[in-house]
Amino acid sequence: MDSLIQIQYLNKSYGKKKVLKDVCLHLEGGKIIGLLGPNGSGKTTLIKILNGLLKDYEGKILIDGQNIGLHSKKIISYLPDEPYFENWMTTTDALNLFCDLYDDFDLDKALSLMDRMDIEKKIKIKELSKGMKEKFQLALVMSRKAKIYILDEPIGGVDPAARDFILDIILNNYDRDAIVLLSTHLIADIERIFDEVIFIKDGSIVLHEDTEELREKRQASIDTIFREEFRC
Amino acid sequence: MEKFDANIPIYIQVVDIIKREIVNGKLKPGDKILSVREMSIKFGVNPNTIQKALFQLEREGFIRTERAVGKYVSDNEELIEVYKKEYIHTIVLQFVQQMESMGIDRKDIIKYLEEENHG
Amino acid sequence: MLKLMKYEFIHSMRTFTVSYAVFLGMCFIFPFFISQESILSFPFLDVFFGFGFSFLLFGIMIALFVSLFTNYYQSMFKRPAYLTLTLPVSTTQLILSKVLMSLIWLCIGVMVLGLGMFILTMMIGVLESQMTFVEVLNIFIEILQSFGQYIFFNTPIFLKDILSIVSVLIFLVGSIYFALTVSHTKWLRKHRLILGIALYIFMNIVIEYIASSLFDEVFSFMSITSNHELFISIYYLIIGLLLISGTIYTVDHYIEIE
Repeated sequence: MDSLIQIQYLNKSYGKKKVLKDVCLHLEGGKIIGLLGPNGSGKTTLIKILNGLLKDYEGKILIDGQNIGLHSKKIISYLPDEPYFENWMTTTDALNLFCDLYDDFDLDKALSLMDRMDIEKKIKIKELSKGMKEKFQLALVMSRKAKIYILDEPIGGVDPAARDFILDIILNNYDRDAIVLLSTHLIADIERIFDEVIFIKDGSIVLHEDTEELREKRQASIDTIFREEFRC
Repeated sequence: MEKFDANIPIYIQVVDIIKREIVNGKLKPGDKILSVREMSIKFGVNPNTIQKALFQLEREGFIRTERAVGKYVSDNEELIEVYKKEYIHTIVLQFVQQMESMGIDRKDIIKYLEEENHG
Repeated sequence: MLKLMKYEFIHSMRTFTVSYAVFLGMCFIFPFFISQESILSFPFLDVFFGFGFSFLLFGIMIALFVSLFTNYYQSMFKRPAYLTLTLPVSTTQLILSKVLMSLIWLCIGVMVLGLGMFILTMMIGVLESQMTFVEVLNIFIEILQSFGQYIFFNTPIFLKDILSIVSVLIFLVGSIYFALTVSHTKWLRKHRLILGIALYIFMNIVIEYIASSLFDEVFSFMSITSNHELFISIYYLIIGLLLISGTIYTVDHYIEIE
């Protein structure tokens, strides 16, 4: 099977500073993959490029066999690290927007998730607390039946109960053909859901392996291996 | 969610959990076990990991697959007995080692056990 | 694309409706103030109200102009960009829907201004000249009728006027969008908003300089013909459309969102 995400020799610089160096990745469907690295390692840049938020780069990227563009936007469901709603939107506006523009959006699922999270309809999103905003965002993103889910730091700064809830949603949503690419720097709480992990350091990929094999090989948790790798 | 030690492969731990449930009777021969999806949500673990664990269990003969229906605990009572014995032996060994590490020799261990029995 | 425009519309509606309503309300109330003798007898109040009203008028126009910048900037380059630019639509659809909606709201703004003037004059007419509502209304109906006749009998000129209005608006929107977009590429990495505004001003100066040298000097013979304004309109229309295309191209190839 051809990889759903193929990245070949991706390089990106901001002026003289090189933030991604010769990144090569082939990611297949049916996997939950952890993109692990400290802040500033290039995770966010890579994610932005995959989503079409950064256009000027070197290298080749194919998503579902096509260049980044309209097709990739249709099949990628993106959860950014902070909520992205405009001030004027209500929760109902956002639901309608997703319904109207995304063919793969499941409104019933979104509504039931909102119910579980105690989020009301028709209220202005800016009036929600930060935590509620993030949960609402997650509900929208996970209610799409996308081929690729890109979640940027979904569990940063949430309490353990909320974290378990989020992991629960991700596992519940699992699809044998879809990729879930989850970037985080908080590994201990979440490593049990990863099929594969990618370590990124200073813009380079230093490791990309099957999680269980890695545990067996190094007789250690991914968190431990990560700390060793990124010791200052 | 179940607590797992992330320092060793998780699928091995899932295998052990299922085996234990079979041994202590929670899962009886012929019982249907949870689907991969249900189990992954219950344990909070990647579905492929569960798949790997179930594969292993099937290879060892503890579960069997009925096509298009699901997975069931095997009827192989002999196998289960053998594993039960091994498992009990492991627990006892661990116990003995723990007691010995506190400086209690084997004769005294038996005394403690009798105390427990009459108490 | 219509769906996109629906959301742009809701966004603009929530931004503008209140200010438009306030403006119309003021147009309604204002004549009451100036018709009261007691108020006019105070030395500075009439000046105050006179200025106050002009400020209100200019305020609305400036607010409209500024909101063109801020709505686009917010939606395309701040946090909401993570939503706007990942929507499953082509860049062309995205930018065009924004352009069209801005044009529509500008036109609505102009109509609101006109309506405000209407209400103002009507109220003054009623209060000052002791005319009844019906009389004033009749006068306005007459004006509308003669306007309708003007359009009917002078259609080409009227169309040329419409063209010049539309081309100026397209140029306005296109130049704002283009300037702000270019400031979010790899060529400008710092102080993006300020440089975007500066670029906008600079572009306007250059384009107008070209227009004046082109039409006043090179093609000065055109000022004799009545098509002078037509050519200027077409000039701005083409430049506006080029800027919009340039915006689409830049977003597709060079954009960098922070």
